[in-house]
Amino acid sequence: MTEKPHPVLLVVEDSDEDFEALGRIMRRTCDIQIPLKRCVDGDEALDFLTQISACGEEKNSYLPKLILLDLNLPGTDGREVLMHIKQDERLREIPVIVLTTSSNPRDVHACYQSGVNSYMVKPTNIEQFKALVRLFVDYWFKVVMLPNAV
Amino acid sequence: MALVKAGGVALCEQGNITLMGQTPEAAAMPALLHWLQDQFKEDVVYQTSNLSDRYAAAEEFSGVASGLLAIVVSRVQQIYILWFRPEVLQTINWAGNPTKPVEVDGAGELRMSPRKSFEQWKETVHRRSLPWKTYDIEAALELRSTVIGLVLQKADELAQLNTELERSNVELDAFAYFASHDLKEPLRGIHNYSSFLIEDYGEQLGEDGAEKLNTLMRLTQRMEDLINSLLHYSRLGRADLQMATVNLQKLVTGVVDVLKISKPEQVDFQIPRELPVCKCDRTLITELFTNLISNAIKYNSEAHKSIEIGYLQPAEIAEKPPWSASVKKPAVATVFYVRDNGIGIRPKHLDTIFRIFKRLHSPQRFGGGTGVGLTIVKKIVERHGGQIWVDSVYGEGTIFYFTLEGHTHD
Repeated sequence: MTEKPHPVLLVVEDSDEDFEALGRIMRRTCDIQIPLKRCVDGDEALDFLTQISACGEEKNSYLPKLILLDLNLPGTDGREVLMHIKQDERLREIPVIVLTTSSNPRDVHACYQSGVNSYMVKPTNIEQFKALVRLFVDYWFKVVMLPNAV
Repeated sequence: MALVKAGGVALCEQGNITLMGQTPEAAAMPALLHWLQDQFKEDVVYQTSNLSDRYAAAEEFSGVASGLLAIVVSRVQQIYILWFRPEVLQTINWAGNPTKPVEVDGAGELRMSPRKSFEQWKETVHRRSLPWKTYDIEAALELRSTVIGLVLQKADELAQLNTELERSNVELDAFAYFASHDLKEPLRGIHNYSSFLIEDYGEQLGEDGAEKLNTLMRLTQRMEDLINSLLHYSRLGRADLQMATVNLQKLVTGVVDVLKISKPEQVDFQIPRELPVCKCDRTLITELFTNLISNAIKYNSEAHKSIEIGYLQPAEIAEKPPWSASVKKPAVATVFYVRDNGIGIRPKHLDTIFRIFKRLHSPQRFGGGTGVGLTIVKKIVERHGGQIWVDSVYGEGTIFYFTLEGHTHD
């Protein structure tokens, strides 16, 4: 395996600091390393996903296995990105996990209505955040069978 | 006054009476109005040139008000306009002038008054005024429709203002919500990067440096608590109430049970009689009682803490009203209360205790807190259409009273 690994986890996050914190914790405290791809807003994320899926069957393995999505994004916001993904036949099987500051019951409700696979609130406490990231990686990359895009 | 050639006029709006010119005494007006209200029948105008014949009490003021012309502007809002004409005996003084009295009739022509012998007239005009002519009444009716037009216009403006107010309230809530969210992001950054600093440069920073960064992180946590409280408060204002029939006895017993588990202090809870069933939002009322009762436990230094949760019925309220002069008398029948034997509140602080983030004690005393508990309690009461007020003796204890509109005894 000399090939550069395809991104497995797509992180849609506009805040550099939040992305840095996530990456740092994943590098330092998780025992498996997940190749990341970052998009800084909703438009970039949708462009990235639709470009790959438009290339047809053989390129589908380039699609991320999992999407970590922030809700409040500049431009097209996370709620729209989620709806778009879940309405797209080729994208809808990719699990989407929302990771947001918003604990608004309305957001939680709307996201599950749109078909989100999990909803997590970003804690301000760093220890809680570390625990959250470890659990997230363990659950989605060790416990769960992810859809096989090949 | 000139409009209908009256000597005086009274504007009456829900018991507020404005008198102009020659009118009966203000003290005589309420009774006159009371009598007048039944005289209109289906009509909107009432007139007489011999008031004391119809309304005996008018004899006292027949000098200024033998003639009465009145219109109803609004029965519901009790708006009336009354014009008075004096007894003609007095006007006859000038009728005796060399110039004969003339009046302008409907067609605008000058007309002579019939001239009769003075003796004869005096007999018939006793306690009578000049009669109200058709054009007087028409003028009054015209004024009425103008006033009603204005009232309707005002109502329109009010409705528009209301819509504006509603919109700005919604915007304000949304503002609080989004502002809070956007405040949290940089706060999280400060928190996380402080922790990264300790992780990566802990050795260079030394114990003192690390301790200062830990303080910084603690403060970001406190800031987050405050923002969360603000979010919770703004959500309270926006969310729809889930009204249901709730057994308050069960609800309060449940709250007390939960508090007993989380607060190990010895507290004597009393519910002197079974609390009623009430139409309210279960979740919010649970939060209301939780906040009031946990405050009662928290702000209490007695060895034997005692908390009483109860309500007052109309008869008890009538006997000993639980409100001070500053409280507008609530319209509902039942007043709930939570009484404690805690530290009490100094009178000068009573006005500010419901204000958001207002705390009366330093964060180190009484377990700290964000200072939002009572603000939320007040909001919950207000969202139920009720009122809340407090009575306290410093050093002896506090009673919070509140009402919930739509409350029913079952």
